[in-house]
This record gives sequence, C-alpha cells and structure tokens, in this order.
Amino acid sequence: MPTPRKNQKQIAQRYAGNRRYFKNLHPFRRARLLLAFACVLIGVVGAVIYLKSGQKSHRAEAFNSSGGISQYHSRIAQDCKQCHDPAVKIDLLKPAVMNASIDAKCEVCHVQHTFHNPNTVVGLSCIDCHHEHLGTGRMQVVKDGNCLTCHGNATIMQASAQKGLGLPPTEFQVKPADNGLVYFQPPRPAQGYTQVFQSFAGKHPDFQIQRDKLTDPNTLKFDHKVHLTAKDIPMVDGKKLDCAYCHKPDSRGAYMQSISFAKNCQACHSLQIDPTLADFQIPHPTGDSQINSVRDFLLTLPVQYATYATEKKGLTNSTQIAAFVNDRMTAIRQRIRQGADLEKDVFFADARNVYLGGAAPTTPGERALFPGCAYCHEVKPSATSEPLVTKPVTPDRWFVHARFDHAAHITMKCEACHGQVVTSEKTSEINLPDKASCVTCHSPKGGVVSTCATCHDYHNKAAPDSKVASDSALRQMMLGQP
Amino acid sequence: MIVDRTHVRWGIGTLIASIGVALVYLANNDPELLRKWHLDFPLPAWLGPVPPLRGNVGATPLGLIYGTAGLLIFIFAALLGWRRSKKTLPLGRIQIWLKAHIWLTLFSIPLVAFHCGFHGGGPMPQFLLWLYAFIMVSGFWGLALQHVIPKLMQEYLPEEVIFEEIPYIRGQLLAQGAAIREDIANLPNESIPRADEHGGGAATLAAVSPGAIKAAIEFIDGDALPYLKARGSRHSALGKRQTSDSQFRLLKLQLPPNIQPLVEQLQDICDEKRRLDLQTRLHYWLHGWLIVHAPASLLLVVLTIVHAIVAAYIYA
Repeated sequence: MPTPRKNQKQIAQRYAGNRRYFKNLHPFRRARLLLAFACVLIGVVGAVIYLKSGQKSHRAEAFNSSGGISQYHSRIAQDCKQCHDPAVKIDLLKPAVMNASIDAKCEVCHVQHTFHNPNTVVGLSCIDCHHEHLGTGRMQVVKDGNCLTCHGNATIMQASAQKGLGLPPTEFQVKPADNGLVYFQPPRPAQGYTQVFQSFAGKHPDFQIQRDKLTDPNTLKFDHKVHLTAKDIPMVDGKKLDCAYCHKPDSRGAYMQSISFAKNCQACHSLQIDPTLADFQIPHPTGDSQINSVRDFLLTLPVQYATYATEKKGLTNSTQIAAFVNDRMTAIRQRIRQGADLEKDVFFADARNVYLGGAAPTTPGERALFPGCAYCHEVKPSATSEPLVTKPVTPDRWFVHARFDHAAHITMKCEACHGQVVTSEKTSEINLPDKASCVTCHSPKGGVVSTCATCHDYHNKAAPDSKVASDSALRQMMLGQP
Repeated sequence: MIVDRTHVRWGIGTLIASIGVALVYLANNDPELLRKWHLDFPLPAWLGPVPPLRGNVGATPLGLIYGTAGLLIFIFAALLGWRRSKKTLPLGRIQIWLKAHIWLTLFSIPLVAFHCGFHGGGPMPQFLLWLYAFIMVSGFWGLALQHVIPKLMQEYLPEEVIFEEIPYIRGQLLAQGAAIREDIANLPNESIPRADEHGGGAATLAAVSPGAIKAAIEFIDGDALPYLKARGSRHSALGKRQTSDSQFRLLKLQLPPNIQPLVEQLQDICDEKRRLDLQTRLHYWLHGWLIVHAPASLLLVVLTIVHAIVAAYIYA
C-alpha cells in the first residue's frame, strides 16, 4: 500500500471552505432517495388503484390471483365473481372467511353433489379438497391426506361412529341412481365405516363382503362350477362356455351388462314344452305385468296350440286346426291326468326328468327341454292362486361405496381376481376378489396407484353409475366440449 | 460490512433456524417423509390438520406464520437506511443492525419458499417473488463488493477524501491548474522567472523561449484544464497514469528546467484528480447497487403489505 503524501490534517484542510457539505445531498444519494420515494409512491398508488378498481376490473383481480384457473373452470376464469362473492368488502377487523360463499357458488353448477355421510363430524368446504389457482392444466387430484384427515384420525372417527349411532339407518342408505341397475345393499356396520387407517395396503378394512361373509340374496339357482367345468355342458356358438359368454362389458367397459334369461340362458335352457314343436315355448315372464302369463298359458293351452297352428304352421282350415290341437292335447293327456298336475310339473319340477308329452332325450349333447320353473327359480306353493315364483334379483353393482373399472384391468384374466368361481356351486357365494387380491398390485410394493380416489368418491352417496357417465361423455362429444 | 468471524454465531443461528422451519414445514405438509427419516414429531393442534386441507400453503396457519415472519423481516431490513440516518438513537449498534440485516434476510429465503409452498402463484405473487429475488441478488452482489472494493481503495487511494467533498476539491484543483496556467502565461520572454507562490521550489535563473511557453499553454488549455474540469474523463490521456506521465514528460522535455517545477505542480494536480475519479468510480461500485436495492426493498415492503391485506381480507 502506498504511503500517503498528506496526513489527515492536510487532507482535511482541503474541506475548509465546504464544511457543511452534508447539508446538501450528493446527487448519488439524492437519486437514491428519489427512487425510493418513487417506489413507495408507485406501490401505494398502485395498491389504492387496485383496491378501488378490484371490484370492477377482472384484470386487477386476476393480477392478484394466487395462480391460474384449471382447464375445467377456464370458461369462468376471467370472471372472479363466479366464485368470489363481490359483496365481501375489506374489513381489517373482521377477516372474511369466504369458504361458505365459495361453496354456495360451487353448488350453482355442481348441483348433483351430496356431501359424504351424515355422520361426518368435520365440516369441510369444497375448496378444502378441490384446490384452484394452481395452474391452468388439469385440476389437482384430491390427495389421500384430505381423506386421512378424518379416516386417519382416531378421535374424529370415534366421534363419527358415535354420531352415526344416533342417526336412523335410512340416513345412510345408498340411493341408487335411477338407471334400472340393481345395487347390492350391504348392511351398515354398527360403528359405520370408521376404522382408522393410513393406507389401502395398510389398515384399510377388508371388503365388507368378505369381512362380514355377506351372501348374495338372489334366489336364482346358478352353479358357476357346473357351467364352467362340467363336461356335459354343450358348446354354444361352437365355443366352450366361458366367463365372457354371459359377462359382457357395458359401453364404457367399466362394468358388466346385466344378465338376462333371453341373452344369456335361453340358448341352452329351452322353454320348449312340446318335444315335437321346437318353437312352441312356455312364456318366460320378464316383468311384473307378465307375472301370471305362465298359468294363463297353461289354462289356455288348446288356444295356444290353435294360435300356433295358425301363425306358425299356416293352417287356415278350422278342421285341420282342430285336429292339430286335438292331437297335441291327446299327447299331453297321455302323461298328465289333469290340469293341476300339468301346472305342478311346470312350476315345481326342478330337474330334467319331467318331459311333458314325450320321453327324455338320450343324446348328451341334445338341447334340454323345459325342465320346470323350480329348476332355476324359487317356487312357493299357494293355496289360492298359482304357485309363486320369486323374482330373481341379480345385482349389477356390488361395491356401492367404491368404483371399479374392468376396462382398466383388461390385460388380466378373469380368474386372476375371480378364481373362486370354478368352485362356486351356490348363487349365495359372492365371487368377488378380496382386499388382499387388490393389494397385490394396488400398493407401493405392487407399484400400481392405490390412492383413496382410485376407488372412492367423496360425493358417493349415489352409487356408481356408468350409464350417466357415458351419457355425459356422449353429450360432451356431440357438443364438442372438452 | 465484512463477513468475518464475528458473524459465526449469526450464521449458525440462521442455519439452525432454517433447519427448524424446514422441519416444521415438512412435519406439517409431508409428515410421511419425516417418518421415513425417523424425525417425525407432533405439531400443536392450532396449526390445523396434518397435512393441511388447503392446497395453497400460504393460507394455512403455518404458511401465514412464515409469511408474517417474512414480512416482519422485510420491514426490519428496510428500516436499516433509516437507522443509519439516526446514528445517535439508542436502538443498538449499527453493526448489530447490519449483521441482523444480512442474516435475517438470508433466513427469509426459507420462510418465503415455505410460505408459497414452492409455487409461484398468480401475477402479483410472482411479481413479488421476482422482486424479492432481485433484491436478494442485488444484496448478495453488494455484500460481495464490500469484501473487494474497500481493499482496492486501501491499495489505490491512500489519501481518500470524503466522497461528498470530491466536487468541491475538484473545483479547487481546477482553480489551482488555472493559476499555474496564468503563472506560465505571464512569464516574461527571455526573463528570469520569479519565485512562485505555489511551493514550486527555489526560483531558477534561466531564459524562457516564447515557443516553449506557447507549447505549455496549449497543453494546459487543450488537455489539463478540460481534464480537471470534467467529472470522469477516463478517456482523456491524462485519465490514465501511464499516458499522463508520458504527456508531462514530453512537455517537460520541451521546457527549460526553470519552468518544470510549475509543470510538476500541474502533474500533481492531475494525479490527484485522477485519484478522485478512481475514488468516485469505486464509490459507485461500492454503493451503486444500493440505488436499486434500497428502493426495490421499499417497494417490496409496500407490495407485500398489500399482498397480505388482499390475501387475508379479500380473497381469504
């Protein structure tokens, strides 16, 4: 460092004529002060203008937005009032908690939503789970944390169970969508669905069907084992009977179509009651209006033969028609002594050993004739009227609290999840996979997503309804909407 | 402010506080991660559900706490300029304020990051973040310069003057240069120069040719006085030491020895002017960042307050 040629006193003497220099700001300091003042002024003025115009100008509102609006709400992204109530004014002493007003705005469009179960003890707002202002892409999916706030908290679950005990069971009844589908209605556990857990692979309860050993209440007699493994089951359409013959996916592929006699059974299970006339068949009632059609058919058997002779055989001569009817009725009378016996055979026969008007087939592959209602149905005798055939009710949806998508599992074979069907002999056995089967894949170890939202909806009081969803998708496609 | 050993406690304190707020943030927002690290701990119930129900971290109780702490640090940092202008107030030593300014603003980085949940948000929050980033970068830049520039000034400016006096001293130098010019111009031809009053040493008896005086006057009028008058003049030949020395050496070769003391005086004046220019330049480097850092900081404080009001009371 060079040595100064002047000492500080000599240097200070240079200031002799300007010792009050600090009274006047140096241009550099003055510029800094002016800029600082300008910045504060700009900030304050900008804030005042913004707050004054915030209620009128969308741009001013959008400027302060905490983020972009998701694509689903993009049509209202520029109109803040669609969600934020403009009636709320600045009140520094009374912060405005706007959740309630925003919820009301949500429900203007999302009218179909109901809010979880009536035993909920934590009041949640729409925006607690559905977060907006997080970007213009897809809306963020609901995180498990939102669900586990309650379902992972023992205190909340206990309170929820207590609240549920004081509510009538009808409050919890799942109201099926009006779509003609049949929903399996499991009984609600005494404590409700309040088991505390943190993950699906962890302590998520076993499915209620297996846990409570629930049975299918359907009275239809069906043996999966026989249909899938018995050797004397005839080929259908040239193929061996398999799952896919009866269980066909619906339009979305998520669920299976309803099973019906006409579509799935009649090809093998004939209604033919006259062995000489293949197309002379007993009616199979399909609705409440046809409940008496079998007995009516039997009571008017000569008329039915006459109608058959006219319509199917093309007979027009009354003598020929009478001869045909007489011939067929004689054949029946050879086996059946009186009308009551005929009715008993038709309703109560439960094996292929009753063949009206003829002998049993001897060839194994020959189509069976009508074996009697009780072969498949529950038939109860009635002293005053015709025997009562219990209407079979086959559920279309088994998990009313969860969703399932068969299409998403299309790469798997049926038996991978429903392997027990090959040993299932009774209709009462519900051949659905258990939780452990799902956890094989749907777990961190299995590597497949296992979030709550994978299977459950928070707003799931109405049971899953693929028909509504497909209609909605179709409507969107037609309207060109995203 | 030089960051030296006296800052060690501040640094450790800031590091510990940063780790603390990070752990609390994770305990509140991602407890699973802490469980994996065996670091999970319960949070008080008034912090709300864990993890928070709201997607916007800034609106959660913990986010609001972090945001408020960040705003208070901004306000404190912005008060430094006021504190420096009120040196006599009994509010703690300015050195302590400077250290707190550096380390608390550093601590504000995790607070801001956790407040916004690593999410930019809309235009206003994004603008605030960019402004904050700009202020932090300019602050780091200023801190780095303060470690370099003072050493340069010690090395190159042994006779540093009060910065605000520089224009006044420059005026003095210009007046001295003009006086030397008059002295030279008034020298009688072929005469013996009188002993000057500028401390140029003993008078020398020698004849002065008119041509030499003319050359000296031309140099003074054309180069020296404009250089002394100008504020910076880095592009002048006299603005650089090597070229300045060459110029004066050439001039002195043209002049008889009896005038050379006057020229040497003039050279000293130009050298001092050059040192003043260097001091001015280094001063601008040392403090120039403040011209954007300080106003931007005030703007950040104002807009952050507006952001807090708007977020809390309008779009809660």
